[in-house]
Amino acid sequence: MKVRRNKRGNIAELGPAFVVFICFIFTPLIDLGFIPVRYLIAQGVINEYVHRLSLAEKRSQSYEILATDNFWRQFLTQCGITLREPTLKLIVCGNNDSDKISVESGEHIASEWLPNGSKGPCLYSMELSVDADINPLYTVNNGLPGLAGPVTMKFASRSNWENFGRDPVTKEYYVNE
Amino acid sequence: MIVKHALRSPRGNMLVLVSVFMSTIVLALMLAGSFSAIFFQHNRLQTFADEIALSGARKLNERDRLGQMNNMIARCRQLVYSSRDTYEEVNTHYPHLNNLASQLLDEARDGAHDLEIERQYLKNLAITEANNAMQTKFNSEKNRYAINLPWFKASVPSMPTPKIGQVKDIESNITMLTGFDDLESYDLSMGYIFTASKLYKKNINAKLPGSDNDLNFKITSLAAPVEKIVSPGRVILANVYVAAPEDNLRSAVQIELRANIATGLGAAGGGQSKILGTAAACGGDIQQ
Repeated sequence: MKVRRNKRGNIAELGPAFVVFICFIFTPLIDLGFIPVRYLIAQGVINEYVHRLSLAEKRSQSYEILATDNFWRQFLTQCGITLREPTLKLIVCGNNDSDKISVESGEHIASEWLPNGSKGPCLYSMELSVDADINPLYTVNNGLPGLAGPVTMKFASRSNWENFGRDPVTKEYYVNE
Repeated sequence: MIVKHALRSPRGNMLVLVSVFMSTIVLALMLAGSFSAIFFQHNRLQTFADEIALSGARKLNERDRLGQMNNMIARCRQLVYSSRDTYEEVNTHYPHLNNLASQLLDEARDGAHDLEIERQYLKNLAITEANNAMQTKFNSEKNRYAINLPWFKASVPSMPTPKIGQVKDIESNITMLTGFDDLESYDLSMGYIFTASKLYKKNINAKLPGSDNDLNFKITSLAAPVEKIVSPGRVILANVYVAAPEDNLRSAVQIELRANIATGLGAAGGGQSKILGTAAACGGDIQQ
């Protein structure tokens, strides 16, 4: 009876097993593993950024900063995350659960929703929502999302508006300018 | 039986594969943990920096002392102006009341001198108290921010001397005082008044004309109340903080926190994190 020698058999089978392991388990796993890491980075940056926007002197300045400050987008692009269509709006929540409005760029808050209005006291927060294409480590054109192509995720983050003063010239609340 | 024993056991291969697999998973988890910890720590330090700055800013205008000082300066200025006006009128038309008018004028001028001394004292006091408040806040909580994990290390943060200044583009809280047309015209002609809001401008020494030109009436930047709404103390963006002239009262603070951070990726995975916290003091209260 022919008997296989122990050591050589091990080495001969370990090699193909390693190739299969590297190609079909190890690499895809690393490839896929980049997505949660990048997700955390994107969420962290977006949280930080919306906080910055909520500290602006006027609401219109928040939109200006969003339109002109590209540092955060470039940073995320370098991290393999592409942002699309960032939308910034003010969310005003009133006394009751049903009292909630969102105010887009260029719109004014109705007087009843202002800090001295009938719906008050209200909570004012800036909400930044953005679609992000998160790439895995390796990407190819029209690749399978998550393995060889980007996964699109929607991020939304809020931060409370800070400046509740009023403009001495226009007498308007800064949150409404 | 001998043949059976000589056959290879496959368990050795699996051990190698599982070892590689598990170590890769652990490495990937450490990587993910390290990167997310950087953001986590950054956000924690940013919140801490904001809290420290806010505690200092709140002290600066505690009980509206800056706003009241600005108002007293403006009213004292008006009093000196009106006393001089009265003195000159008395000299011309009622010489027998000259001593009384002179006494009133001297009192008003002395009041202006004393107020200037008090203003400088208040400036130093407010700065000292704000610094103490920030240092106390920092010392009481700094140790919470040290992290020592195999995949992430953050040192106890340090805080260099805070900057104490003012907010860009905020004029004073004093509305133009009425009652003396000549003084109003003079102030407008000298550019002391911001015409759109009728507020005195920030960082001016609103000197009076004529013989009282030697007196100082230094007005500082502080958000004005508008229709009974007082601007609350708040965290602001770092780029709206500006240094104040050396001799002026201050209404904003900016602090920097520094912490050494290191990921579990060796020497290349570390650095110093610098975080700015900036806050503005409450605005001036409503004038009585």
